Amino acid sequence: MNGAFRQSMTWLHTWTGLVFCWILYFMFVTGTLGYVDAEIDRWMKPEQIAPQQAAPAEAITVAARYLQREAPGADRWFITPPGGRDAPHLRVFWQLPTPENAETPPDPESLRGQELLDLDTGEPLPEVRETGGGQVLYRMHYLLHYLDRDIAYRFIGVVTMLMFVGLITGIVVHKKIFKEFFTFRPGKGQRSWLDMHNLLSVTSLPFQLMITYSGLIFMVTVWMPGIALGTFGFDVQRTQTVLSEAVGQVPTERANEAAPLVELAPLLADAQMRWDGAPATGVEVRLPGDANAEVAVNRSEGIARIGGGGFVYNGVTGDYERAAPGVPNAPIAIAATLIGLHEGLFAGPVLRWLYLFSGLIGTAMVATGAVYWTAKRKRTGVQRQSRGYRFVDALNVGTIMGLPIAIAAYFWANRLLPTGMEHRADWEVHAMFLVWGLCLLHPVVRSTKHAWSEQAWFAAAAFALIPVLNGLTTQVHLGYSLRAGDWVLASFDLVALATGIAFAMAALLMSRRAAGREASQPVELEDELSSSLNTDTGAAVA
Amino acid sequence: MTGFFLTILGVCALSLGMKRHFLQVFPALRFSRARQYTARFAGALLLIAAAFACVSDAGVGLGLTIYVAYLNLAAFGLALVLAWRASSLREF
Repeated sequence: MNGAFRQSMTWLHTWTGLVFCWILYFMFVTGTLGYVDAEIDRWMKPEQIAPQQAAPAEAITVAARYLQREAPGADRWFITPPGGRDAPHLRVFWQLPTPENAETPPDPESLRGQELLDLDTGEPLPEVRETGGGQVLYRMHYLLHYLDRDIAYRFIGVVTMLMFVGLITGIVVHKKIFKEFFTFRPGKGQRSWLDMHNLLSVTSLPFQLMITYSGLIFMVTVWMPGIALGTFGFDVQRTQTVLSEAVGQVPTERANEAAPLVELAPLLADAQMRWDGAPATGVEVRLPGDANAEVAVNRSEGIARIGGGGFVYNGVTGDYERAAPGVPNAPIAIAATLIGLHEGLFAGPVLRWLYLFSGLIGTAMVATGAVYWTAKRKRTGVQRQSRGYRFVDALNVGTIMGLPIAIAAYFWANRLLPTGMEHRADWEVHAMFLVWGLCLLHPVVRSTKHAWSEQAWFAAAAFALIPVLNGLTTQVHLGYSLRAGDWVLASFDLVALATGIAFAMAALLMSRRAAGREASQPVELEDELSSSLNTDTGAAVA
Repeated sequence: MTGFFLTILGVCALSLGMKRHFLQVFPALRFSRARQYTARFAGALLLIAAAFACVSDAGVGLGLTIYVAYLNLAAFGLALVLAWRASSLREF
């Protein structure tokens, strides 16, 4: 390949990588934790009653009774029967109609509601500590938490595209993809960092391409607003309607005539029969209590989570009306498959661990790339003194080590903040970002050389002590979870402990290397001195 | 699980089709053209077999997803083993 072309690609890879590596690292870490969001949720709500099981028909009756009472005139109800890791409890969601001729449009949040119900009592689950849980943590990877949603979306859209550029240019730049497929040469400084960066990237390339490209599919309306704009102009309402029709949602008109809602359980039984015995995974009731009410019984399965489609029934008579195809057309099927692969909701325990592993590999890929930039420039003393070098080095410590510490702080805050505190969930996040801020400052006031190992030690302690903290503050500690065989809770503590040990090993390595460097420094100085003396004498002789 | 074992064997065979890794594991042997092609051919066959094992186990979509994840894990793990523990592979 043309040398100049490769050189320009190297430049592009280096600079898009360097400028955006810290935000990409943040996205990879929080996104990876998203693969275990439900498990983190569970750990962060230690008072929550244990997951419940029930036949969908039974659960749906409980849900309908509650919704009849709390949200009778709603536009839609969504009912998710309990089952699987995503739904440990019966979940209901409702959307109230936008009041007509209201002077100011009401806050959309105030028109929505959701609740987890206790199957035994039919009432909402008892209050637990207010927490953002795994959901807030995982949403950070595309909402960045403190930013306005629209701005965050656009920004993340651009960053995702740059990640894609980074992957493609990386493939072009890497000269020996096959020749050095399994190559890692440890203990060789700059060489080792590049080897590891290559090894991580090449072995996980299918995952990285999939996760980045599907990330772009999420952002398709950010990147390609022109198609909708060209067709519908600035008519946002019309665009929305056409888009939701494209994904198979048919709007239902209100008759404004009251009619009692049909019993839901028999519809579920009918749908189950049509699916050869497979149970429904969700029920949507449109316009409950209206004469035009409809009930859609849905089943999501497969990677795309829409494969099962659904059946639509008349909401008053209970008559079967039509089958809603799971996949309305090919583009939607492709998009849904890519999005399904990205979210990994279909993954069972083994594949979920593998997703976690792939996410960590991606995280390490970004981190090793960032460190390689400094490792490459470390050897020349001039660059080492430059402001740019010190800036990158400090940001590397504060992000690569600091972000995990901050996430540990998020978990610590969950256990330590008083349960009755106002805005408690917000403060969990504030604690996380405050700690991260401190970690970013630390290498600035202290030398980065010390900061690496100090933060690694701190991260080791912060994670390894999580099981202890959990034991001191709750009843769901390892002593309980291991004995009860509650593997979700036990895994959280055990993984935290393992993470702590991993950081301790990294810290040990860094301290040892830093000590080694200090010991070898006088020698280097002497060498330099003698060589300069030699040249001096050489010059004198000449 | 069969899929995973076949994937591991497949990447091991492929690595033995490369001079550097072949000599890491068998320092006393000569890396010949015949050995190179045998190892590569066996590796390719094993990896194809692994893909079929995964697909027959979990269906096309899910099976291939799992297969790609296995490949990632096996290749990365093998590279670390070759870097630090190539000597222990010699005992085989």
